[in-house]
Amino acid sequence: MTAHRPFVGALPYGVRDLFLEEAARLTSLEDIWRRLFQAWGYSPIVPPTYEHYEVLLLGSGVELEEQVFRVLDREGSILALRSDLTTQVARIVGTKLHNHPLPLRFYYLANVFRYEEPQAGRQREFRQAGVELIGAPGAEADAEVLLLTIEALRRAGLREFQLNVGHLGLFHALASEAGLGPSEAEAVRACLNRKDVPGLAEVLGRRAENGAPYRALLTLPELCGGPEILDRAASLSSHPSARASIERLRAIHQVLASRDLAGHVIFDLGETRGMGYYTGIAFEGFAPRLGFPICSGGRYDELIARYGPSRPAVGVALLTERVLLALDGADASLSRPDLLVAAPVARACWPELERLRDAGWRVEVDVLDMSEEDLRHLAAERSIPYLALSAEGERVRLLRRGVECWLPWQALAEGRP
Amino acid sequence: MSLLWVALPKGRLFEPAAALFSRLGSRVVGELATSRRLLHEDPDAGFGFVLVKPMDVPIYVEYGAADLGIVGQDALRELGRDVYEPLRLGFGRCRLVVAAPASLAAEDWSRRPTLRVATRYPRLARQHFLARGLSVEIVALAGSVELAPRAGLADLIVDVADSGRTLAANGLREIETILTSQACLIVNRASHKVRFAEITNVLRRIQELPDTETTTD
Repeated sequence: MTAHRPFVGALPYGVRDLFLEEAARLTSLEDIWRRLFQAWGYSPIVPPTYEHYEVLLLGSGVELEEQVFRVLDREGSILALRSDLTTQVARIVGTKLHNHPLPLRFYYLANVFRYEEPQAGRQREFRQAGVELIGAPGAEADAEVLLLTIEALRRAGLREFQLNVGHLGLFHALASEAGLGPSEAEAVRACLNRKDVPGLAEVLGRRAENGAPYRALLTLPELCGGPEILDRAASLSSHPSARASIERLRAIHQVLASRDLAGHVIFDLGETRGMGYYTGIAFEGFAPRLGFPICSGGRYDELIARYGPSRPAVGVALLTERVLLALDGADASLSRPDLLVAAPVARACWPELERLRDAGWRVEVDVLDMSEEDLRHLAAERSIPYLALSAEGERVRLLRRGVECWLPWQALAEGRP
Repeated sequence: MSLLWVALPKGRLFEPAAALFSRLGSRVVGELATSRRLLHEDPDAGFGFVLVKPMDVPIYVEYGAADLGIVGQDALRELGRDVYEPLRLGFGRCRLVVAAPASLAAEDWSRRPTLRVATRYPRLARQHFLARGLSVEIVALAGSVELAPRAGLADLIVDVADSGRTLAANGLREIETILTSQACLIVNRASHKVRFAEITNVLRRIQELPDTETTTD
């Protein structure tokens, strides 16, 4: 049999090329997020793309196990491409930063890999933008991560979105009050995650008829809405950790309401999804007309202890490609310059161009010595708004959106591109 | 307010599923069966309908191409898609069974070193046999599964049985039940969150219809 070389443009399933507008959309969104995270005091963290499989598995737990890309190195060690940044951050904090003053605030903009069917903008390699706030156990820290998530989605340009916030403490309290063993609790949680109320009733069986904790578990899927559902939830159980969970959500609501941002948050107590390491609040973001979540986050107070001293922590990961999908179409202006400069102008007026670049103009210089006619064609074809054709003294002859005019360089530098 | 899109399954579940939505006030849903159009809008009732193959219903709903769907639990479990399933509808009851020709059914077939199984449910069939430590060769077919043993394609089949007549007519005997199934209403996760009040309202209206066997408890 002849071995066929793949077509030189062939790609494996689950990855994609981004260029021009699409690449520019992605990187400009990440630029916005980078500035935002830094403005809130978060510093960048850049873990490696692959690590020892066993070390990652220690944190990410079995639920991601099937989705991990594994590689053997030449010594036969099993390596894994990261499927999640939080686990890596936990390892770094646990093993290298345990003496650092707390809280620690980290952000990342990174690619992650999961062996799953590509869906809704998410390939097997996809981008995540996230923050981790480490060393703060309270509602203020939870609220900060929620506020920052809301701000990140707003800055991205999304107007309509919601964060559905649940608390795993409530489920665990009810499960323990009901005396469910680990496998039964897992079965109940699986039903809750599918909102499979009939299935839930089957698992709980006849006990549901007379036990308050069973009825409470059956009620969980209905508990979705504004702060008023927290009152309903409070009546379900007197278990101290159930109470604490509800109190925590109330405290978070107060912080959000004081910033006028409570409208983006829905309390969703029947949702027990999320990474296996979540211990407190767990949330997901949704936008209209997109069938999949656009971000997910939660509190993970026991994850860092798997790598070192215990530290409370909370974080979020925004799914960059999905947020882009939820936004309206591509903006071609992102991948083209504001000003195209004819070669002779570039040679004569370099300081003026530098000044424009410093003022935020995207300036592209002709390096092909094109004729004026060819330059006009190119500018029209790429919709470049300004074309510098020739210069004299302080002034430049411009083609501005198709109209020729003479303008002082100074006026350009002071104006917006 | 925009429509709630519903993915309805072609085939045996179509009639009861369409009947359910006509009882919820849709006048066009009945026409779907006779019309060649696969996509109908019913602004008066607030629904849009897409008519698709049963196995495609969970896919439409998982991706949010439809907000709601009606599908048998057999297809739902086979596909393993990530959707909510808050309501069982009480119709379309059937069982997914293992069936064999009478001769094989009589012997201790589980001691055979390998078995070849024809099915439209490759995932559930594989799970079922592997969980019992039986190594099987799965032949995934699109239909007429009951023919496979007679044609010499497979030793066993895994398929749905409602009355058992089709099996008997092909000389097959039911030897095990893998799961019992009925139609259920499934919901896209994001729709359930973003349009919670509307969807909860539809669920409530279905449960309040007289003479329906829906269960949520």
